[in-house]
Amino acid sequence: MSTVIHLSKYRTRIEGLDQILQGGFPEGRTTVIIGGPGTGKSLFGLEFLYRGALADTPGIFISFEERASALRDNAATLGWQLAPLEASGKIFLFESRIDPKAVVTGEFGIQAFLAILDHKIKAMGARCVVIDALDVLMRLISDARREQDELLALHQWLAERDITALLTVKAPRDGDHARHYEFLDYLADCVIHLDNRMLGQLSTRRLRVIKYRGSGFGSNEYPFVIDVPGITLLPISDVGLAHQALGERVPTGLPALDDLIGGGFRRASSVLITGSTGTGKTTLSSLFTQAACARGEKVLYINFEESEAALLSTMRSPGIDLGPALAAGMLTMLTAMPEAMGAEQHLYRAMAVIRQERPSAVVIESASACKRMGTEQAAFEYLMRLINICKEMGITVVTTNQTAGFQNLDEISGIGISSLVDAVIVLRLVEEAGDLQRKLLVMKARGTSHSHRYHDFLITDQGIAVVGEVA
Amino acid sequence: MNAVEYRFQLFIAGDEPNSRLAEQNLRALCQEHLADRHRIEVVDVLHDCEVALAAQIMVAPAVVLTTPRQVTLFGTLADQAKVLAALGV
Repeated sequence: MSTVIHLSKYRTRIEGLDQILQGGFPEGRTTVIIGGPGTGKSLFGLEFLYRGALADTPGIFISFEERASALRDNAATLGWQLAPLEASGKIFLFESRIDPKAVVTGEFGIQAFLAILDHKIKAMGARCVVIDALDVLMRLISDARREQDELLALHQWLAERDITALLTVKAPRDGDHARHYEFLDYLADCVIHLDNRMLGQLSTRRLRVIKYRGSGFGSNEYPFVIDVPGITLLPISDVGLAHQALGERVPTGLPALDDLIGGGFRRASSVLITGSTGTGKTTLSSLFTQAACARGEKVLYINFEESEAALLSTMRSPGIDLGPALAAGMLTMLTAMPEAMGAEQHLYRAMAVIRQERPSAVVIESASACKRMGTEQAAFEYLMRLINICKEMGITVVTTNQTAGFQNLDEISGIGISSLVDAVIVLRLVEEAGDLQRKLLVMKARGTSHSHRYHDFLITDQGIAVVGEVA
Repeated sequence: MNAVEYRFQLFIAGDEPNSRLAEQNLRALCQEHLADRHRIEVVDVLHDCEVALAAQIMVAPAVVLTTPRQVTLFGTLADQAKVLAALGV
């Protein structure tokens, strides 16, 4: 008979993370978070300590990079008041900024650091320690063997004291100082990577657990948001992002656009149509809706922007008539003010209709309006969960998003749903010879080779067309 | 002759070899180049870690020149020429 020893876990209390880590960080052991600049490494450490301190567990935060005052300010923007916890001895936050002009000659060790840490651990009864930007300290040591010795010594030192430690390290750039990452990867019991990727102009923060010695863990990439009241991971993708393969081609309603993307949107895919006001987002999504209904497929149109009557009337001008589809029960409209209720309730309403009507496509108008449900985080969760559920059910989702600026392509969503988006269509207004011209670009279309150029997108009383290529 | 006094804080970690070496090297250097115009305060980080914390010194041995200018050195001070250049002596 074999004995299974269960690793004890230390709850991080970060929303969603304990679920991914199946309970938390390995207790009394070392976890490493690796990520590029601005990926949120320090905030993971801070929130871990902050939540622990609120639950009466003292912890220590050492920053080798950011100033303690900057960390306090960052925490305050998320509503975390560190000062009272520092005053009551639940958090000890200190910075050790290594003078960049310091001269190194001959060997040295990190005993001073350990002595300080030891003193504070004993004084506070600390059980967890966050060492932020350990790479800055390690960069002082130019010799690979000595660096490994110091890391090993630190690791053992922490383990001897039964400290649950979190070390954050900046991700290497192209092999630069890559060696301590490999060694840390090997040393640590749990390794987490963070990144902040741009896809087109969509940015999404993601977390991935690389290893967890002696424990299972959620192995997907988990999107996360940083907003009041803290970091929120969406382990929802445990079910949802076990993606169904993208299905067959579904006509977009605009044959010229079908040609650009290899025959149409993929069924069960998620499409984002983004652009500033007046670029034709609603026209495009209405065309798609009309075509789907005409083929005998049901569509749910969730509209946070305008009423059913307003949509029907504005779409008549370019020649789209959604009336018959509505009358035939092929099209269901769900309109609401985003502010009218919480994100949960919006989701609940949408789900109720989806279960009842079993649509083959859902249109969400618009991601930008969803922000008015409250926080950006609420909007993110709403979209994330809705899109996930739809994808699981094989439903194609078209989401529009209104960007603020006329020329502003930098902000497509602002809500990090890009990881759930399989195709992105960008619409723009461009001034040409004194006229405003609509332009269309297929920015991303997963599993499809597509044109990377802007095309003219014409909406007139005579109809709608995508023509030509714009150099 | 320049009478400016060089004030050093030497951070050591007990009597481990690198710390002893650094102290020897610093004293020898001062004897030779800064005779009668230096002062060395030795801080054992294992006992006075609050001093190290206040000075944000996390490694030992380390030397902080506080006057006439602020210079931080890490290590055993093995390369005397490099140390002198850094100190501006």
